[in-house]
Amino acid sequence: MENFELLLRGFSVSLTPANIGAAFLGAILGLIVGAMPGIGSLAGVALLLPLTYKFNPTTAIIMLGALYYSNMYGGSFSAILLNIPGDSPAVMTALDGYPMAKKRKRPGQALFTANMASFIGGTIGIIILTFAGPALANFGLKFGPSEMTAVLLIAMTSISWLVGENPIKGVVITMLGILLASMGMDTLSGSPRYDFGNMYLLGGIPFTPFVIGTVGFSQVISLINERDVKTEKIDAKLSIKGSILTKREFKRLLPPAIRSGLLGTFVGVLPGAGATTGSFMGYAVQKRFKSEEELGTGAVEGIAACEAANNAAAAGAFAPLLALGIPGSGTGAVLLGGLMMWGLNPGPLLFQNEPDFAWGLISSLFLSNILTLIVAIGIIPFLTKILSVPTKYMIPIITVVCVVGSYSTTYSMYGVLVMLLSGIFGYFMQKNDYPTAPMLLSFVLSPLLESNMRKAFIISGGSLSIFFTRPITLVLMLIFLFFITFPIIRGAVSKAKNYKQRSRMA
Amino acid sequence: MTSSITKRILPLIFVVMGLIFAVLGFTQFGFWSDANGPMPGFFPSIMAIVMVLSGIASFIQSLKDTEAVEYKPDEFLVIAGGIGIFVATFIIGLVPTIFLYVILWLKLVEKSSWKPILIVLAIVAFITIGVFGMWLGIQFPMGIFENIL
Repeated sequence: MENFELLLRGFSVSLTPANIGAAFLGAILGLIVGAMPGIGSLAGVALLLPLTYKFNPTTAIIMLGALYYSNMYGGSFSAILLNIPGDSPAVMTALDGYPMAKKRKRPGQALFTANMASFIGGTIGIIILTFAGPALANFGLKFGPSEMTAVLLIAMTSISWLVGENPIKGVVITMLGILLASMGMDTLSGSPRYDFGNMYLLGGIPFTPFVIGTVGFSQVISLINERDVKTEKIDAKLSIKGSILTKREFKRLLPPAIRSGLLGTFVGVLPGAGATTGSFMGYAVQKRFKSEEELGTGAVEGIAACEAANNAAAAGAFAPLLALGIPGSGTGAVLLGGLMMWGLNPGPLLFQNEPDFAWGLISSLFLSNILTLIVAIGIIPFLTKILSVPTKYMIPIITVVCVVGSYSTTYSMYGVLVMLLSGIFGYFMQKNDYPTAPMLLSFVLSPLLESNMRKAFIISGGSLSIFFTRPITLVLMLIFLFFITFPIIRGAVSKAKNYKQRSRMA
Repeated sequence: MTSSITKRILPLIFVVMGLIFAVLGFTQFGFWSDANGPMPGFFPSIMAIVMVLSGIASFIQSLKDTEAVEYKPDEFLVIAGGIGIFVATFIIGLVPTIFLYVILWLKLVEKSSWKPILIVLAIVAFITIGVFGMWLGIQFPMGIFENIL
């Protein structure tokens, strides 16, 4: 009940004309950028980050939240109409979305199903966030520096060890993010560190140009290979009226959307398992339930299951982000960086110290969900035109956004230089199969990890025992150790299986 | 153009970087003080050592990896374009450089006709001058002309 009252108070913050306008703008931009194949939510949020500089912190974060959220909706559009997922969570949407649009000649209904399922999944996720977020924060209040160190270690290792096929590369890249973040000033004493006598490096590596380069400019470099790719477009003329679902179809959509909404939220709360995992799991679970049409042939249930799950996961990921300051994905890391840029420190104290902001943001997610649904339905007639913009024209436009965005956040060409260097480096990393998401996550979390780890060592007088004698820390450290050893055990098990198979063949 | 050299060079870069950070951390910024506990070099030095070790492991992995990475010349054109914008900004300023870049890119690289070039220029002008210049109030650098003016 208390949460409900606080949520109503949050609505009084978010429902101002400026905040509604910002959320609306965020929804439109996020949908368009999310729909563009090859950009994705990570690059989309990073590229649009400088636009939030115009607003006060609350409005800026509301716009950022709407951007992030609508990006999830947008990813499904190109998956359904072009069979090219706008981002990785939409991969599963293409399995049924494209056949429904192409073979069954019902592209409008496929889009409408995706939009409705996204809305239902997102609503479930935000409702759970309303209760889980403060509860998690209350639990987090019991955390001292040693517990926070363990939680942050889990957050960093879970994404670098579990995401991607090569844990060693994940660790290297995580360490790179930490070292880059340590340049500039020491977090506790404020003394200069790793500035190499350079005036610019004294202030550290600026976050926004670094992110824009790593995920935006590097994406443009890769995008050039896609300019000649011929896609199978849906020729049908789309209209809102012709896209509306029948009562029967809506009834088919509802159970998988609710089921995936609950599952997706749970997945979203876990560190390292974001919207993509949610979407995959939602679809996998749907396979165990009855669908009117076979999954993979254009089934309403298939689209609903993965779309509801990925939007619910996106909402669920806000719980650890706000309550503990731990993002579950690269996009979450960009969002956290944005929050910190505005001087806000997500963590257990956020709900106590900044209730207007925390509840304003949660209530704005409800608002963004409704606004995004309205925009997503309203945009249906224009989607074929938006998606038919040739990639060759997008390359110079995105390059310009990268350059101007980086300059605007630093008011100096140093920002543009950081963007270019991190973009070139990010391109080489992607080419050589180094994942960039763990680097962004560690770059954002590193200052927090360092200050907590040092405080823990000060308390213990340099003894490691502090991490193994306190009950909560011990449990968290065991989880951390499991994450580290899991890929090694997995590798050993798969080697043993292969050996057994070979010996059987012989 | 295919190459497997970068697969070996990248981990070596990480190892060297880790070594530099570890040495500087231990020697210049301090690791541990009996009075104050961990010093500014404490955390980055530990992480740098982990990076050196994982970099070495990654290098060993790369020796077993025979698959080459494919680099396409067009990809380097995008990088050249970005560097070109950076350099030219110091001479003619950011906004004219951006317009020049769009025209040169679309005309020379993409061989586009003038109609789409003008449309893209209009979009770029809206983003640069409209959104960033007028709405966000960003003052763009004018290059050496700034000094002359």
